[in-house]
Amino acid sequence: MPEWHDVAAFEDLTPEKPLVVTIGNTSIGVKVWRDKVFAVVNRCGHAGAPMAYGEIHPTMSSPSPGAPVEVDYDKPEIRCPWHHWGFDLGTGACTAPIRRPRLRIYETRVEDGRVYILA
Amino acid sequence: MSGSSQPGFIVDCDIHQPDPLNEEFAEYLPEPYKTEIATFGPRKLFSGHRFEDGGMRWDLRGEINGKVMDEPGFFIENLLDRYDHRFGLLTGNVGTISGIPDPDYAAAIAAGLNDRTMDVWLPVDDRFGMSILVPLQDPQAAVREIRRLGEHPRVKAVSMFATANRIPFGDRYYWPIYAECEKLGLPIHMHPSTTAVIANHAHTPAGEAATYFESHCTLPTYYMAQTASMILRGVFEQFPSLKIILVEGGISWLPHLLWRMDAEYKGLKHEVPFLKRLPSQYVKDNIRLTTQPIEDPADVRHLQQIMEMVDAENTVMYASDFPHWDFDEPSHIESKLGSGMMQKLLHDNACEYLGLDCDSHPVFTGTEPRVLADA
Ligand code: FES
Repeated sequence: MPEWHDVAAFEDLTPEKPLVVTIGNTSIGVKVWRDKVFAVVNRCGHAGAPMAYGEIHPTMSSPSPGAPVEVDYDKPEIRCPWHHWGFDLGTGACTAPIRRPRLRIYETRVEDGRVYILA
Repeated sequence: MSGSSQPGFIVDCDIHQPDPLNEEFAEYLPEPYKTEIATFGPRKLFSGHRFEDGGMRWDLRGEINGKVMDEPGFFIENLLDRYDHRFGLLTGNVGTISGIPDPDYAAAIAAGLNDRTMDVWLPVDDRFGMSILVPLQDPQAAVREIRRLGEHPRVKAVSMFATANRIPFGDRYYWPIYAECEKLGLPIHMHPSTTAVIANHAHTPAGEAATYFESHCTLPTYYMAQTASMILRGVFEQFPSLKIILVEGGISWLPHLLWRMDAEYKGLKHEVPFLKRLPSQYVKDNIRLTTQPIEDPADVRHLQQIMEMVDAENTVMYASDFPHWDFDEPSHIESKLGSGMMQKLLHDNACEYLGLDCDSHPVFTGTEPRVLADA
């Protein structure tokens, strides 16, 4: 059964500096973006890049060529540091229409200034 | 008219009827072009290469059974009847207007040649259809020409020249043409032309090719660039029913482009946020390729693998390129690819894509070489 793990102080997390924690045998990247904390498995399913070094971006879409681009900050994606593929931080699905690879996403919470991961 | 009541089998997507001689050509033109063509002939824009002896098959020189290459009867005897064609798409002389800078001249010449093909070629045999020339130099004029002729039942495509334009085909400059073609269900017939160097300032992405050989071998680079341009600028999102036929640009380049576009889409999709699908999906839905000149690797299995990679059974159609020097007869295609996909590749795919009236459905029974000596 997954358990909550206390991994860091919230104030120590910065968007620039990746945090990597090991829980059991699993390396997990912890990222903060727009005051929210995200945790993902620290290995990209495409070619093994360390996802802790990925960047979080809002989802961008456009209904048709030339139409304004819609930027959705409520649906962030993490993009891999190596080939820049994107993975939905809600579902772990690749943001391109392919079934695999997916990215394992861990639930997080912040309580009393501490960051917890369910893993 | 074709004498047989049975439809033939071969559907041929690329047949080059020659331009008329100057005096006849002039009859189809308004002034001032009528006088210009009668006096000086068409304007020339060539690549500075010696074309392979005029680009024609040597066995078609001179008279054959009392006919010469300028007449429809010559094409009927030596192509349609000889190979049992059901349909042949006349695509004309591809260099006559492509790349010519003057849009008014190009529009007049395109219309004149279209009218002449309708007058002189179509009535002679039901099996002929045509791709109309349009002046890409002026998309609004091109749209007018498509509206003028596009609903004619024997017009089956609109010609665009893959190698002779300063603006790539994904650009919105061309979108009025695509809108009209989509509306009428007319595919774009995308063929190389002889004017690449002047139109693009170079024959290849690397610069000028010294010889026809060097330029002809690198034609696929244009097709890669045009395909990427159309897909990645959202042409098929904007015009989801638009049909494109890539003619004479080869096939083996396609797997690389599909793989690379699909791979890079995953990392660069923010640059094309209007695309909803993997780039390769648009190829399946909106693009077909033609066989000629079929690639000729030393080990034919390599070609067959590539055909499998591009789902050739559903995406490739036959073209002879008659009467040009690098003509492929149907049996040559069967000898390379095996008979399994010939029903679709020599007949069904093009029947459907060109919107032919194919109520009767002949079944593939095999091809055989039919060279002139066997006449
Ligand atoms: S390793 Fe992550 S996208 Fe390639």
